[in-house]
Amino acid sequence: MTPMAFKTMIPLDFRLLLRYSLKNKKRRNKEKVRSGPLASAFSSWFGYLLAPLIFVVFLTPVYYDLFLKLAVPLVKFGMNSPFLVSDVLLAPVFTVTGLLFSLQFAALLVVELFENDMTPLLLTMPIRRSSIFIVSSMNTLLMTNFGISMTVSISLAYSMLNRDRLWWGILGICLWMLFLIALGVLFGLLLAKLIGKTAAKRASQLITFLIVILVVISPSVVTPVNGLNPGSVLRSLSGSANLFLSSGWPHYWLMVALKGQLAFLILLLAVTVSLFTFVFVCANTLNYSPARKNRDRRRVEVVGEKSGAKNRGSFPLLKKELRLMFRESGIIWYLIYPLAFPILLVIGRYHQTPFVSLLFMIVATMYSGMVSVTMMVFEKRIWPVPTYFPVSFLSSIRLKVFIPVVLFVLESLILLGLFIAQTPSAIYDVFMIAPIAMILYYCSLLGIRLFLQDPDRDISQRNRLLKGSEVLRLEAVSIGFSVGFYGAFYCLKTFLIEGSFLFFERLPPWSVILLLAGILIALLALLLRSIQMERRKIHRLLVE
Amino acid sequence: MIIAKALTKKFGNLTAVDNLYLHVRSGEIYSFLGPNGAGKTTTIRMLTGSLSPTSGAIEIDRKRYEQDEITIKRGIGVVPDEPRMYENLKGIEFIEFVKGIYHLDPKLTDQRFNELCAAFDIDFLQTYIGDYSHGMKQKLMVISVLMRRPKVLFLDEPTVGLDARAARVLKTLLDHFRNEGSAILLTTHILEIAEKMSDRIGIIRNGKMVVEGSMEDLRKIGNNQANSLEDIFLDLTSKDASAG
Repeated sequence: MTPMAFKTMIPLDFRLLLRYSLKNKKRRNKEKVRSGPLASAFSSWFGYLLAPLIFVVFLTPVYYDLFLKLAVPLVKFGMNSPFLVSDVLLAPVFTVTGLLFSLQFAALLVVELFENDMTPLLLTMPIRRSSIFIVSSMNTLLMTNFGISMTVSISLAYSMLNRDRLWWGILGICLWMLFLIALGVLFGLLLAKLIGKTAAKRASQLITFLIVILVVISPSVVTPVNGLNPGSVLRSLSGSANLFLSSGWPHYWLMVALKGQLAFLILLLAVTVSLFTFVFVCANTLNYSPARKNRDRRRVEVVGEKSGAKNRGSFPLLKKELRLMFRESGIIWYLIYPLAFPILLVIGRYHQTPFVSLLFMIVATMYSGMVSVTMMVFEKRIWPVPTYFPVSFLSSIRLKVFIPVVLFVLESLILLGLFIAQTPSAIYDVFMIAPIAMILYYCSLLGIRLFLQDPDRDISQRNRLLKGSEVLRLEAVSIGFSVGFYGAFYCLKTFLIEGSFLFFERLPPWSVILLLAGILIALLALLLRSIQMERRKIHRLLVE
Repeated sequence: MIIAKALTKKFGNLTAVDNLYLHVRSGEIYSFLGPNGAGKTTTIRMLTGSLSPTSGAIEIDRKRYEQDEITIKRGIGVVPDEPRMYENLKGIEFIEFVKGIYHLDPKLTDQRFNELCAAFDIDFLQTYIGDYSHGMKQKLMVISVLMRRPKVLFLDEPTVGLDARAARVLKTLLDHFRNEGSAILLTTHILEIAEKMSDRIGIIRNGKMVVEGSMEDLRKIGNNQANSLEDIFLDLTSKDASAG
């Protein structure tokens, strides 16, 4: 089939919609000389996919290790089955993660469909509803990154067990992902018919949390399972083996296909294509009216004394910021994740305290910048109205910097309490609170400054508020300072409590203390200077 | 109350507002008219302190933004061209925010607020602003400004999105505010509103004031056959265009 023939197979409205939707996603870049549009798009994608990629890199070896240890044929336990013990464990995991990914994708898709400003206009144009639906689903895929990372890491680890059929494995993973996407699109179609925008938002938030908890908790579950022998694992899972390893499940088709029965791969492909076709046909009957669920509820309140009963409150700016913050699902995610992840790691006793502390520092500092940026979007959305208020915009910005700093410092105190309960020597980490607060402060300032630097930035896509290069910069600053501070502090603490270690043994004790304390002081000076500079830059940008 | 002297705003090579002089007195409604892109909104943004002028001076109630920005902003009311508000706040929460940020006395404001709600038929304050239609947002924006009874009012296309009843209520209230001594600067594309309500009218084109005065003054300046403001407006702006 020639490319031209292939092109004519795809409807024109779909092609145009996809092309201009992608164009719309590209940022306006005045300096196109340095980086082409493709490079810019890649850096942007890379910036946002970095966190899930880290998870894939982190989770895949964990799962691979587990699957390898449990790769004992069931025949050895007297069962007449071509499967391994690892398959018995994996089958329900495939089902749960796949289902969660599809559901998250579906809920996000409904939000995208109803929230997209262009949808009402597109509906007035001679474009098929199915085209709008499919293009929206393609736009949504990027937002499901954690669902993808979980599914990909498990599939990747599983396919690595069959190294002699690696290419089939890769093809299998791609088909599996396509199947899950098709399933997600189908769920999305059903949800769009049943629920409204707000319900979809809440659903996507809930499923995202479930996925995150699954991503976070799974290594903690894997570790104890790893310590058991395959026989005991099989005994504990024997009940689910018959249910999840029956040939009716799509994950069963994938598993047997990866073992060499390629006919099942074709079956998976056929089902995927059928699902997409079904959705494509049904999407043409979809009602895209986003406010339809709310209209009836609007006229229910009592006008008069009751509506004006609330008196003027104190701290109106603070109240407003907090209200808006806790109604923004992105911010809730940024706030919960840095605390929930380490806590679950600590509860699961999967990692040592220093690793978890460092992880918290990196994630919290990075997210404090992102929280500040998201809070700036509240003002940008209603610009220039905030300038009419009788408060200086600088004081509004100060709140957007301090609120995440205070919240993350509180989180670090909670975590510290947990660490101290586990390891009393963690009490010395109290000295890290000040540097953590300062890095948080710096990252928030940096986020605000990066945001202000481009006043014309596109804020329509919540997951791309900063450009890829800006996100990378924030990540580099957060990782650099966190690793520097915590590394030097941890070495100093270990040296003072446990004595000399590694190459420090060759140095006289006073020089080790001097060296490590010097590094800490130098980092502190650098951080203070950077904070000063950021503050000056923000002030300058506001004056301009 | 509102004074602009030699007000100029440049965006790169484009001069959006060019050496503009303006004076709106207490107890006066001044309609600021002009075709699209003439510089009306830019002028209002400078007069309301949300955009710094390239050159020129602004005085609001004998105060200057350079010295008394916050005091001025506390005393003025602005209804912008688009009713943009925090979409994740409920209507009542936005009102609460406004009351707090303008340090309004609840005893004085609450009654006014309730009257305004009744007048504008507002019964949707417990729902999120994000779910409002344009008209509902515009009503909320208007009452959030009027409940403060500001001495200086800037209204940029205030009737856009309002239903006929709400537009009538707004016009009545503006009349009432004028009689109480407020200085009101409004822009509108509905020339009938400007003609009926305004004490004076200024027409701007390409950032420059083309003509200014009462309806009678404008009739004298314009074509003798032009009787309505619409005729005068079209006559003056097309003349200017052909000259330009």
